[in-house]
Amino acid sequence: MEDLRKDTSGQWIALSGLVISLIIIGLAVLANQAALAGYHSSNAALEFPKENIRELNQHTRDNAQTIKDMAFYMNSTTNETVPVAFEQLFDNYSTQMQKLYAVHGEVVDVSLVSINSTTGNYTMEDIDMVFVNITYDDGRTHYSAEPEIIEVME
Amino acid sequence: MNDKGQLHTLEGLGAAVLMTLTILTISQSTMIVTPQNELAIDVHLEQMSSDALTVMDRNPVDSAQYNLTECIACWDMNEADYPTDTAGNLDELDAGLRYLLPNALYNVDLAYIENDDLKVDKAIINGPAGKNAVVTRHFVTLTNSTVSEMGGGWNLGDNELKVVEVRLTTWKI
Amino acid sequence: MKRLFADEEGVSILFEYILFSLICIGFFMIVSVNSDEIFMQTPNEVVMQNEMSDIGNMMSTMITDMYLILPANGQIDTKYDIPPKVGTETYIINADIAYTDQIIELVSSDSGKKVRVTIGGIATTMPINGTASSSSTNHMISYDSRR
Repeated sequence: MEDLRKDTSGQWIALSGLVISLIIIGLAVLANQAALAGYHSSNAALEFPKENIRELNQHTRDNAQTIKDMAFYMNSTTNETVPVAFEQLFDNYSTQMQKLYAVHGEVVDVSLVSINSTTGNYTMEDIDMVFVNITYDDGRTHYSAEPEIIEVME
Repeated sequence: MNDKGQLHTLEGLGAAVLMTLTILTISQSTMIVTPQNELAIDVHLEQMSSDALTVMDRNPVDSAQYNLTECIACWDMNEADYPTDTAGNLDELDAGLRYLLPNALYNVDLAYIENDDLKVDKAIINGPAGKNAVVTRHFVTLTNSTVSEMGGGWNLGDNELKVVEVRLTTWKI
Repeated sequence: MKRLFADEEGVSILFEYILFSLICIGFFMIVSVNSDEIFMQTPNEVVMQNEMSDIGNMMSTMITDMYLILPANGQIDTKYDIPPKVGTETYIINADIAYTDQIIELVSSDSGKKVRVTIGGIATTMPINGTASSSSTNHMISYDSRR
């Protein structure tokens, strides 16, 4: 022990050890901060409900066509007029969408504004457009399309 | 005082400085973007799985491959059972997704409203979802005509339409 | 006494002592003068560069995503969070030059460091303007087709 305490050689080694450790600490700090880069841009891409809104819109468009076909089918089997059948089916659709989105903490509303007919008659050829209000809200992002104009051709 | 080996120490110091300088020059001359960032992988995976569902969904009705609505319509309503029966009778959907999502595993859940209550069925199970799994959703509308055409087990009235949420959970292996 | 002047042993030890002291003092002075620059300013500069590009990219991503789902008639607005400081400074996001230059600019408050991020020509079809300060609590991007 006495020998170790008296032996003062190798001070350069001790000093360079200190310098190198300082440099490594500095590098570690830098590397950590580099890992942080890309957090915000990735997070924004994940958090922003782009696909949810797009799917709501797209599915409503597809569905307007399906509902139109079904409304005519209902008209032929029951006594309902086409606009009434259309509205019933659309309300039904809207309720289901509200519930399915509510599960994910998102408030959506899809409501039928009007059915456009060029001649005023509700035949397969004459109904060419429907007007629909679509709103979406997840607490951070609010989207509303009032009205969304959907073409429903044959 | 033992002053042997000083040159070796100096050499070591010199080497350390040289290495550090090299690393610093390389790392600071370019903007460090870490592509292996976990969130960046998630973004990529989410986009891939969302695209996979969109591709399935947009498939024309009369093409050789069934589209998403047709795939879901043919379901016999029997939940998958891991690991004996992973996909039930949804082979078409499973094959499509497997092709579109290489190097990834996925589960498919179907959520729908039945008698005013939400029902979630497990349609395809490929195992417990791993770390950093992402969930994407698509909606399909089933009517009695599509279901009976595809021979599925959905029991729908003639004037009934059912919105089904296709919930795709994807994770990297 | 005569023997003491003639004796030259130990001189080299004294000189070594003085030289070492001078070198160590010199080393200490250089380190203490430059330590702030080396250990604070340079990393801070790197962090600011990285974080500001990150936040710029985030704005660009959000604007592009919004652009993809813009309603034909209607509005969309989204709140977002950004860190109040990058490195040691607050900053301002400036989108007022988006229309002319197709870029968003982030300017730090103290050193005036600027980072510019492109928005790929979106501003020609979707008007973009406004500024946001990192120190305010709420941030929002809004779009209204009727305005």
